[in-house]
Amino acid sequence: MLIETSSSAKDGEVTGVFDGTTELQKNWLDFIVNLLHYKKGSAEYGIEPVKYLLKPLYCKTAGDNSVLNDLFCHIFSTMGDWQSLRRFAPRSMADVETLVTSDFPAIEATKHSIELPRASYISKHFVAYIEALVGAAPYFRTTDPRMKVDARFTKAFKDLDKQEDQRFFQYVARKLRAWFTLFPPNPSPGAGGNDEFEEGPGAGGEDGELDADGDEEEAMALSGGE
Amino acid sequence: MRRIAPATFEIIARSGIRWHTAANKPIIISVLRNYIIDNDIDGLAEHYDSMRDRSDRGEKIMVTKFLRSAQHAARQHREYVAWIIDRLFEPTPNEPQMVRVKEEVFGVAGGAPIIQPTNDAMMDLRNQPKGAQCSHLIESLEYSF
Repeated sequence: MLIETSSSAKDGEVTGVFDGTTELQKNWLDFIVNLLHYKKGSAEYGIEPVKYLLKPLYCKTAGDNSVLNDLFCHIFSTMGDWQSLRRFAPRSMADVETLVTSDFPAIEATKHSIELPRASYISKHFVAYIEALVGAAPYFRTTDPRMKVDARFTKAFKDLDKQEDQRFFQYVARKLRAWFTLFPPNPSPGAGGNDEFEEGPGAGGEDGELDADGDEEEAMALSGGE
Repeated sequence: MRRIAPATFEIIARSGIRWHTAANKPIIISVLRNYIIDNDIDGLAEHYDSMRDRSDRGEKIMVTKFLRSAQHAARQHREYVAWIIDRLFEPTPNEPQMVRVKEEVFGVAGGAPIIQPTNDAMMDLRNQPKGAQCSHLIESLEYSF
């Protein structure tokens, strides 16, 4: 088993990726953590059986890695099912255009709140957030020390930040436009049109680390009816 | 709470992975205030700042509730991503998006698992001894359930 989920955690199963201490585990971890950058046909790495033990599953320094591949687009396109993000899930190509071209305006400082600069909807922070979640995907428990979400986020953001802002946003916009042209947005995301998720995330239980007062009801209220 | 939930996207876009923690309170407070005023949530647009001047209790309660809910949301986000990654290693011939990802990114046709269970890489991983940390985790999981 590679990825821990609520159901596997209930069964007491632990991911095979472990903590990346052996060469084999490191090889696997590099692959899982960098799934959004994998590119088929690389000369320096690959998951093809013939390359095994001759090449790594993934190589961070390979020159032909993707900045972001279609897996990012697919993950992004499921946002209609993500708690508290449903409002922003695109329902039409016009929504996609809005998402990839719009900014949250700057917020002025007040006596009790800080100033915030303008930020793109699909900002580097947002992309790095998804990338950190991919890296943390194998581990179910939020307190699992192997998750290292902060480090994964910092590294992802640092790498993304090497790209010049304008070029990065244009790149992401191009990728998402192409993806949503192939798979047009669902006009009613999160309205039951995505059966595959019903037996998956969200259907499972807690990871045993509820908030201070275990206020599940509050979370439901926050997520519902957007 | 439900009416301010859409501000989550902006908070993530501005702060990233720790958007749901108290460490991000200054950003959360700014974004929520702005969101409430811009969208006139519960008719508070005109009164938010004057009420906040008089007492910060309402704002504190709102942020605490928001953070509590946000922790559930963050857990659910990870679980969704984990679910999608897991699907890469499962056959998904009836999921066109997955078929496309597997073909375009990993060069695997027809929605087959990107690494077959019989692949040596997978077999070796399965044969890995469970380290101390892993055994400890299994133990704690056994106690949990």
